[in-house]
Amino acid sequence: MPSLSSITTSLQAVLTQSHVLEITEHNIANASTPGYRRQAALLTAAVPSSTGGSEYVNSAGQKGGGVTIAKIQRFNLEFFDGRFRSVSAETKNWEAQTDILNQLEATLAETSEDGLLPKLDQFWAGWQSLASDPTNTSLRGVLLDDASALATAFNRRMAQIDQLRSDQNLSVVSQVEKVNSLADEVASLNAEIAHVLSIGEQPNDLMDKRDLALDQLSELTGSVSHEQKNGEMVVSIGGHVLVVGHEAIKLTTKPKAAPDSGMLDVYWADNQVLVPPSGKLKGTLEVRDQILVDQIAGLDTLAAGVIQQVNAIHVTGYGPTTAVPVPPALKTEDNFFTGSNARDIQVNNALVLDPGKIATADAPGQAGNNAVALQIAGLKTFKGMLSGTASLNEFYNAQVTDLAVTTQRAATNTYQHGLVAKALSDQRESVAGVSLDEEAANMAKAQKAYQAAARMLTTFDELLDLVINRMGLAGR
Amino acid sequence: MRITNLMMVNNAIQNIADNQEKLSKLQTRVATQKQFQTASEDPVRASASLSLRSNLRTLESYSDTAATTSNWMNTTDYALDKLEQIGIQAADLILRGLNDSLSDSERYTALATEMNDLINQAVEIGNTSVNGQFIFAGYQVDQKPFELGVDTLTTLVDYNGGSFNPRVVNYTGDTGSMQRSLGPDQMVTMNMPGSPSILTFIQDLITTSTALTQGNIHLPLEPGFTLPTLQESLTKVQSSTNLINANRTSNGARVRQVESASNFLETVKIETMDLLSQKEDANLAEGIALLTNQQTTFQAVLEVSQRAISALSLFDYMR
Repeated sequence: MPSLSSITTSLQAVLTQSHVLEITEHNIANASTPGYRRQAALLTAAVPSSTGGSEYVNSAGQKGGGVTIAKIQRFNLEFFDGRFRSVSAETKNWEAQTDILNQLEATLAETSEDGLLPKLDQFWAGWQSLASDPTNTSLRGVLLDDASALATAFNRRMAQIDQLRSDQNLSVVSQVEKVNSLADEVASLNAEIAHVLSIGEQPNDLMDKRDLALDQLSELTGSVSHEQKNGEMVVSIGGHVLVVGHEAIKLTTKPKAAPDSGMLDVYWADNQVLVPPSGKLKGTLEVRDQILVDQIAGLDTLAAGVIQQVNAIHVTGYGPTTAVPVPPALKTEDNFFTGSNARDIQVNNALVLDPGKIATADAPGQAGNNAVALQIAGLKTFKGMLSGTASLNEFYNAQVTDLAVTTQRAATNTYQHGLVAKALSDQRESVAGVSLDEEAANMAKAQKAYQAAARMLTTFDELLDLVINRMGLAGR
Repeated sequence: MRITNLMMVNNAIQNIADNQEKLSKLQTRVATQKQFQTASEDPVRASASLSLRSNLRTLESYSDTAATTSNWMNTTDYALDKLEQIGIQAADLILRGLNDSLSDSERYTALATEMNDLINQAVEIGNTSVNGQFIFAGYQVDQKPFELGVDTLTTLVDYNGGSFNPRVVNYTGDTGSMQRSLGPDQMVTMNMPGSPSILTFIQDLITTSTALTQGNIHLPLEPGFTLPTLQESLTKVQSSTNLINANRTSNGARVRQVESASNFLETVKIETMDLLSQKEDANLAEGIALLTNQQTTFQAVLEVSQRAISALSLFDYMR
């Protein structure tokens, strides 16, 4: 017996299927949107009505009431999110280090002719040639050129490392700003999501947005998050809460203690120093505050070694125009180098003005005496570094190799963590990503169901037409 | 595993990027013919290459030193040879002078003049220089070591009854011995100071010349003579010539030492370069083979990626 309620059931089916189509449409539209999780309608049969009490059919059971959408499901596995974020944070950490170290290696160019070792060799060779021909004034000029090239090489390296450090400092500031804005975004999304959930709806797209922000936050800082019962996310970095509820804690930057006051540290609002457990920020801080600082210390040690070893011999010697002290004394005004570290090493200007003061002899007034020049040239192989185990050249060779190994390790780690991150990201994508073929099938399914429901509607319409317009016409 | 379109695209992009990186590395390797560009690409080889290069530069500067040293010592050898010749000529001349058939006057005009010439020559040789440096001056390479003069304080009587001042030679150099390094801990003495050997030699020649001028020929001394006779000066000249010869021999031995050091340096240099090439030069054949292989792989990757990205989707078949 056709009834008006059948039309309603059909209408409900038509509407539901068109809704399903809309969801498919939404999926297809967002097939390549970053952070988008596919959605699907969970269809369920509507509340059935009882057929009992009908005069023709007695207690046959309940009659189906058609279809309805129970929930719009969002495909996401929080388990994958957590694992993916921890690996991708580690990848970003190494990636940041690799980037900076590659820059450092390129600017130092130690394997080229412009490296510090060739300059050092050139300097020793300058002494060696002066020792083979101590009266040759042009060789003194050559030696001065070699020496000032060496000093400049030291100075330039320090300037470049300083520049690199202050670049990283700027990068830290901008990363902190980014963290603050992402934390604000998570906090305000928390508020919206909790509100939507509280009225019983499913804020799928807001959650996508929040997950994307959480991905970025952990890439920067290695933050971790967990969801609370009301749907809000609590975010923390290294055990310290960054976002709770709809409150975000603001990070600030403050200068380090002197003498490194040009560099900024990151602070929590309660004045604790932020130590990121992972992420790009960790990599940046590590290179800025450890690897580059070690390089500076190494260069300083090397420069101090060169200055002290050369000067100690040089002040005992005499050049053709060296003033002879009476009584005999060390002529500290005739130091070969001035300064005490890589930043301020310079060739003594007195020697530049009067190359005759370059000491070659170990006694005054002996033009052909080369004892001092020989001794200085011999420093090339003298093991005076690392408590007498390495020559100056070997010391720096070791430092170059150390840096190379560090850079290589950073690159290898980036690659390997990147592979894991990619695998995890694939797993996540496999669950949550949009497959167009699947959507095509879903679309066809919904379309056919829609068509069928519409046909049902027409059928009931015709049945009712029969009842209303064609029945009971006898005798008209 | 459920594969989505985004995964296929991402994979394709990743594969293309990976392959391009490998391709670019191999291209750089073949183009530069170097095994690595930065130290981090191969820290072990880079470290070895740095220290080999440093050794090479050291060898280079030792080689330079050996060359200048050898130049100086060959000049010394030549000068000593000439001095020896002068010594032989002088002895010859003395023997002629000892011949009694000559008169004092003949000895003076013929022999003393020739002897004075020899003295001038010997002093000239004593003042030999290399690159403006006097090789027989000890450390005082910047000033002429031998200066001929006349001893104005001593007046002597010549064969003719006239008076003359004897000639005298001054040595202004010192006895400094110049050391050159031909390797770590390998020193060689490059010079031979003019004093005492050359100085004594010239002084002996002067003694001869004085004896000839005085007509002071034979032993025992005739009355009025105190200086050595011509006969005595013969032994003196012969012994100082022998001393020059001994010096020349010792210089020769040291020249050979420099030469062998120089040959050794050359050999080590070639071996070091060989080793350096093994450490840092790319194997061209291997590099090109790898490059070609990588190119083929890359083509395959592009082909596969193109299919993966533009793979037909269900939409193409549904109506």
